[in-house]
Amino acid sequence: MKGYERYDEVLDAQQLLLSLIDLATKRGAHPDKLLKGTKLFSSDMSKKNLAKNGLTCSANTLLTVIENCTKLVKGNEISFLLGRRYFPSQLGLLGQALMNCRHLGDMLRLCQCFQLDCFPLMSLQLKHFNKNSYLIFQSAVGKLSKNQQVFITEFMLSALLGAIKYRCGVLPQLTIHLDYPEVQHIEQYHTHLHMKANIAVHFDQQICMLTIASEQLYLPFNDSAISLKTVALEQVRQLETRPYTTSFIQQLNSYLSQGLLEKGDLSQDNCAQHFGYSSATLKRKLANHQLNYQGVIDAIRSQQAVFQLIVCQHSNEKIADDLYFTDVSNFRKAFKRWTGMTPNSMRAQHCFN
Amino acid sequence: MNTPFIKPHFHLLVILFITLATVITATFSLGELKPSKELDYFDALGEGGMTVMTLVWIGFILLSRPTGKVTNWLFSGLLLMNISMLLDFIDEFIVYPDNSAWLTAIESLPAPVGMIIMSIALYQWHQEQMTISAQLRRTEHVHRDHNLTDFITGLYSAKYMKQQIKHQLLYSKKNNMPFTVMMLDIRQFDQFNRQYSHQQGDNLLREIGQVITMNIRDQDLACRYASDRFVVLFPNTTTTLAEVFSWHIENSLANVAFKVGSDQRANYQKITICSKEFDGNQSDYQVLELMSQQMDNTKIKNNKHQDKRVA
Repeated sequence: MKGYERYDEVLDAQQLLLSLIDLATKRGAHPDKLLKGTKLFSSDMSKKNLAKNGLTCSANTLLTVIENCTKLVKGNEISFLLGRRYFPSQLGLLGQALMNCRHLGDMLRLCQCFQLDCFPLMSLQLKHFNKNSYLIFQSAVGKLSKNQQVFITEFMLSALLGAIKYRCGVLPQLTIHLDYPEVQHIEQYHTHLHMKANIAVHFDQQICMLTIASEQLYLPFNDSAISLKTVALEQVRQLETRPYTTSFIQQLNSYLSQGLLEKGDLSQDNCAQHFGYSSATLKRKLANHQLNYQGVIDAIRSQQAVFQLIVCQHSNEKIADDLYFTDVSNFRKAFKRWTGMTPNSMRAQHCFN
Repeated sequence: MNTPFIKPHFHLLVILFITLATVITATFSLGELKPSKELDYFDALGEGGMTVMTLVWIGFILLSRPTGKVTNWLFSGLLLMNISMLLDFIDEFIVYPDNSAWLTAIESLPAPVGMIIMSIALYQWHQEQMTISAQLRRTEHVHRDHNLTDFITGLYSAKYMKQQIKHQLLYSKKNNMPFTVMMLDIRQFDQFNRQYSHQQGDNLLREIGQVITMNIRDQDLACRYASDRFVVLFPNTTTTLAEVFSWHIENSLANVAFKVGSDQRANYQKITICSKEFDGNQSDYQVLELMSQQMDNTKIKNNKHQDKRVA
């Protein structure tokens, strides 16, 4: 199945774009200035035009509006508000299906399957270790600017926490690692993400993830109705005219991490063949996302190394071995290149946290 | 976007155009063009620039001010200065016959008159600003920065509060005076939003912000923190006194009968309130972190208390 790309006009604009513009406009930004650089005008968003054409937009349009929004609107509140309002009302039928999932894990699986309808800009990857589950966030549409990265991460976190709180009644103890330095608007993290109370937030990490006890993830809800979920999902599938629901970059990432795990052939030609493209097309597609092939592989390996280091607390030898490095010093060098620090210094820093 | 500002000043714009048109036609009909080799381009450039700049200032005044006495004074002063400069500028290109030489003689006259009028206008502007500042007391401390206001409530944002807390910490440490920070949180705000729409939630925040400012002293400062939280800074105040103020605020908020849109039912809000005294040995970041922590603790305590009552 094909995946959507950054410039494909497949996102349901109603869901994110319109609510984002609405929120920003209510906070004093001019809609046309928000849409600057997207080739859209606020008149395209009027009821009449929407009814006529139905509005889809590309991920790139949404990213541009996000960038504009962070510059035009003071206060850095919008990402959190957008997230808090997202579940379940903004998600339509999918929201209904999500409301009737058996447990949080089930909800997450739905989010992953319907990436395009749920969180089109970032992919969620679930890993388990010991008694904890780790939800790793990664851009699903290529390279993001700093503003976009912070905005989307904040949006995802407040949407997820909002959903957890809504369904469980209370927020369980969670830990969040963020891959950007501490922000100025920390007060928003205090109030919207309940930082300090139930949630420990660590800034300036090399990985972006949410940690939750596995037990909590699979704690069944009392009021879910499987039949309602099935019906809702069936309706979603019928409405689904778009051929793809996950992003191309996401597919590429999972193909490559699978390949890394099995030590398969990861040459660019081989990868292009797997997706049914020529090597040049793959290269062009990656360039559209401001990525390059080696960079994608490095990012995956770096993420795996960081995860093994700070979560599994494996030794350098074990990680080097798992990632198929020939020796430890090679691994150390590569690690330094990816993250800017040696494995040992990251370990020390993490213990300190 | 700017039209709503231009529209109320329409009559002033008409005056501006008529005056400028009169000056230009009068000078051109009275005088004759200089031969081009007599022109001093350097001088013309400078004088032309001054004319254009005063016009730009007039534009800005009209854009940024509502109609009224002060605006009229400012406008007239600037217009007179502009006329002087325009005459001076046109002078560079035109020679007047001897019987119209009086024009050159009076060309500099409007400028000093305009400057006197401008001075009067600025004095009145100052008076006006004092009135506005009085209206802003409790929401502003000495320093003004329009970039730091919160759009929804009109109060200053958390960023401004951080700056003020920083100053307060320095002051407290130097003079050994404690100060108190109070945090307020609206209970069940999410539920209110879900029930009545977020637009109404924003309205509620604005009203609550106003009630808080009504209940504090002139030297205190109320800001919006984030989401449904507010912070109040009480300089030179101990917790005991702040407790009294928090009781006042809680009491008056409990009696605010908020109406949702045109609905006639009253909506009463409950808030969680906590305060903490500081002596200047913390950083501004620590102060707000401690406040958030205290707020969460108070919430947990309140919830337990409520559970007990229900049981």
